[in-house]
Amino acid sequence: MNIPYTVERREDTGLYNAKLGVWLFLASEVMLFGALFSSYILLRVGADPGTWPRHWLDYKLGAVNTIILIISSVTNVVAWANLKLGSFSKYRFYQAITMVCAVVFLGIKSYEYYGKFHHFTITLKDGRIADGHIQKGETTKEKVVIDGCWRASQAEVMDPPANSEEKKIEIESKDIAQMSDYSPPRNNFTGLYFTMTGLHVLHIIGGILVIFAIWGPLNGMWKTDPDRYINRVEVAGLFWSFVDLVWLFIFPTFYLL
Amino acid sequence: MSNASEQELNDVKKHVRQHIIIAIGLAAGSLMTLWTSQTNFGSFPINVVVTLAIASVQAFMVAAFFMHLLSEKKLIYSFLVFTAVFFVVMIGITFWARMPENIVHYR
Repeated sequence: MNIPYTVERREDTGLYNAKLGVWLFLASEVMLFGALFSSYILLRVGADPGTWPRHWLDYKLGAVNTIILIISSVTNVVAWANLKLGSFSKYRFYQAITMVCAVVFLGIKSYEYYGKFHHFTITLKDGRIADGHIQKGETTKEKVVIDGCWRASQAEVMDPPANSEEKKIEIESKDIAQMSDYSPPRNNFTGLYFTMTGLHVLHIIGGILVIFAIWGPLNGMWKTDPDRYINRVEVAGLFWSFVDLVWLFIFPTFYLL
Repeated sequence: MSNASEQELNDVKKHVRQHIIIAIGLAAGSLMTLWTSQTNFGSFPINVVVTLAIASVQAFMVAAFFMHLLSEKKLIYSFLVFTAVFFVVMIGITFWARMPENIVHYR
């Protein structure tokens, strides 16, 4: 049985099936991310002054990831364009760059996540506050060693000065009153940061699996039904551009504001 | 092989050039966002508005050119109009529910 409108466009809509489907899907994605962004705005606006974290994320890494995603979007579109021109080898080349960019993006994101799970704020029984990355090799049951600095107050933890010089700090375990890392349960900011960037990462992984499947295992269709194959590449590309678009909002809201 | 006409081929080549220019624009927009975040415009809300305005322009460029929304069919536009309406309603309801006079305090 032949499924109609996999290649040719319907007279009434002017669209083929996959394109109609992917745009409906993207509309639902707008609502999904929109709900999370509205939660972010609500919590951010409602936070008391000095209680919302600032400069907790490395904006340089965020900027690098932004550029990487922009490059991947371009190579994705150029790959599709080359396929339209009939050059399968160039399509394969540019789409491979797209996938490499995605892997680099995920690598940088993993590095950031790793850092957050090893970053601790330690409140001592005498009220002093230390903040920094734990040194696992030197930390024992009796003492905790971090690379970080002393903070004057919780407000300074929330908005650390840019020129803080890090040094090795050793703290006796018996002196610690509270110790909390920068993982999701820490506060609303980390909760939303991990939820939204985590969801975005899942989209990157999903997108790249689809792009890889079309690029590799399913590329036989290029010989049997090239127009349909081009359409598949196009709708996967639409999804990929959307993932880029979402990041363009995540980057300034979490890393810069 | 795909049966692309001469006209289609020229269009595709033109699009590729256009996409590269857009990508440079997007990268410049990101750098500008970095700059605005380090600049004090007088108050934090103004910084937020400027930064998000640049992000919105970038998002428009991605949607319009990379996703070919500028030359898309009417049906797609109607999907997106519906989405925008529902999105605004969703945010509106959330904020409305958070207004002080609408918060119910249980004893």
